[in-house]
Amino acid sequence: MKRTLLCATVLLLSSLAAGAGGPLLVGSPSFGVDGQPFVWNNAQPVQYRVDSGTLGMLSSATATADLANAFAAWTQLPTVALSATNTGPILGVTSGHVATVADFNAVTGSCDSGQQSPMIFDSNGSLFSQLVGDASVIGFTSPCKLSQDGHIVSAMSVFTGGSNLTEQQQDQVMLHELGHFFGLDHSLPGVDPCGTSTADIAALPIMYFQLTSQAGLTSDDKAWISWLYPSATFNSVYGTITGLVLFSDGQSHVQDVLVAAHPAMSGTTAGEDRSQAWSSISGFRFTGNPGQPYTSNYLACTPASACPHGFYGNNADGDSFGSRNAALLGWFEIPILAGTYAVEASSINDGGVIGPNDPIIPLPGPGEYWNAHESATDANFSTIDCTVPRQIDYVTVQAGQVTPNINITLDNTAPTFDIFEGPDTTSSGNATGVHP
Amino acid sequence: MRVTKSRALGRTLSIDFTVAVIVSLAAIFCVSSAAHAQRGAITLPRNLADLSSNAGQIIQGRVVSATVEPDPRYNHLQTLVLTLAVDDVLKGQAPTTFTFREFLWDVRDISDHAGYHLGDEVLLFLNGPTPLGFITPVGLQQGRFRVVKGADGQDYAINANQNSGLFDNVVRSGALNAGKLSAKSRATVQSFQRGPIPLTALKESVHLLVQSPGAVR
Repeated sequence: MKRTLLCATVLLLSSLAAGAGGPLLVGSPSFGVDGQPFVWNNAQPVQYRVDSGTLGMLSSATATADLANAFAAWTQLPTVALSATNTGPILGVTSGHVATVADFNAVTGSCDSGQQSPMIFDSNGSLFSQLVGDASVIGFTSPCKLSQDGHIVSAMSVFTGGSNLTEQQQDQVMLHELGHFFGLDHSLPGVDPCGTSTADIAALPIMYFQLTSQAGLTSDDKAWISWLYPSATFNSVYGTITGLVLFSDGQSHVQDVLVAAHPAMSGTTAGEDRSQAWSSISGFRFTGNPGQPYTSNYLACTPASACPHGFYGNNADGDSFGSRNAALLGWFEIPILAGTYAVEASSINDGGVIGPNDPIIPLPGPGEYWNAHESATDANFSTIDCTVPRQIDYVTVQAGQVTPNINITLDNTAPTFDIFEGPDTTSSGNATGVHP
Repeated sequence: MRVTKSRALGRTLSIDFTVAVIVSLAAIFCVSSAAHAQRGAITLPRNLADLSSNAGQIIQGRVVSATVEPDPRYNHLQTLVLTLAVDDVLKGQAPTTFTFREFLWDVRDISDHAGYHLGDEVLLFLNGPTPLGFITPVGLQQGRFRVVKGADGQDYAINANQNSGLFDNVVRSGALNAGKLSAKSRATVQSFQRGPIPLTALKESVHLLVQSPGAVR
């Protein structure tokens, strides 16, 4: 609980956002389903509408076909129970094409009201140039309307034809943005303690925040979309690694740690195949900002409606998203294929804004591999010798099974958060708390 | 602010002292925290040479206000109205109090003022205004740095990518003549990989890049 309080106070100064390494948005006690991701209702096809304009060098027909292929890449995985239907041109604009900012404004309004989920083709980049004005931005997506029962009701994706992307690159952008459309956040493959290799590059998911050479969905992308929308075959393919990331006291939870798993590869120096990765962010179900009452009336703002309750400092409500269940603060779970894996904890040190906190919280100690005798004094990345075979305790995952208690105690962190706190003995701050 | 005792920490600390502790902790805790960013987008990578050459303005300042409101012309478009007390202008011009409007698309950014907070010290590489007058940091999170105090008392700058890729190909391409940097900054730049960078080294590099038009990646 003390960590929760400290997060609340620190985050007053640093963050309001919630999100996740897997899901884009997680419900809070007051909005959505507490601790559960916002997802589309997959009992029926997700209905989207497509801009009838061209997209850069792509004709309307080609762009629409490429988009359909991108939808299919996500929805036709055997472990995914999800379908999507193109229900026709975008409503409310001439010939179904968003050609002007006025059109974009109108379509945004109808998306916000839940009327439609538009796929907008900014044919020559004029919308991007008027709204964003930055050639490095090549696509964006956001849910428009969310329901109280935890569903995405509508969302929009916007693609630019003004960045001279090849068709293959445009397809990558479509795949990435549709990942957001379905409720996925950005993702990372882990941080190699011996330096980034070509294998690490190969593992970059399509949900990496920048355009890479990745042409299709990776193991991480497939696992997380399957986790969001599991089909009947999910449990015959995937298992789950779960655990906590803890400070050196072995009890207090650490949020915002990148936990990644790579297949074991014995007989090699690395001891793992880093070209495949599955990852999670500790505390991804927890909020980035639980709120606090102490500055509720600090600095009135004008107009009063511009700030929560009329004050810049008011953070009594905290974030709209993320659970307040302290047992989830350091909790991670990785949906993963059956197999044997090395599991590592590292800092989110590349990848834009990812996870529950914005800005991210750096790892309070060195990264490390999980081992069967976790302690605050075991081996970690700061002392690793990259010239000799790594000593790794592997984790075995069986399909349909949870491999629990892969708890990682970080080394060399402060024994308590600050010098004014005593030992944490509350059940809510204890690693033996209730987990989902 | 001196009102009550802090029960949260179970101590008889005044709120003033508690806030001071919190601020100190936050400064330490966040010394290597990234800057905020617009989310839900995919971008192309931008190094420091790109950021410097593409920016119309490069401004260091303190956030005076950050509010989200509908654009007055297009009521369904949400925008961030950010006002900075300008401390330094590295490129372009800016008044001592500078306000600009940025288009927001992400539901999370709309709910949290895109992560800007009163009192944040930032270094922004800003694109020129769009025809609608919107201004966006170059490369979104890549051109948006928080300035934080390190444990050594130095100011550090860091963006949401943990400054990853910031100096990729910048020196090797000749865009930045590291030989013209101070010895301390040169050492920093030449060995830099990722993480917080001393603000002085970053600003020295930016000054050089800005003075060298036609810089290449």
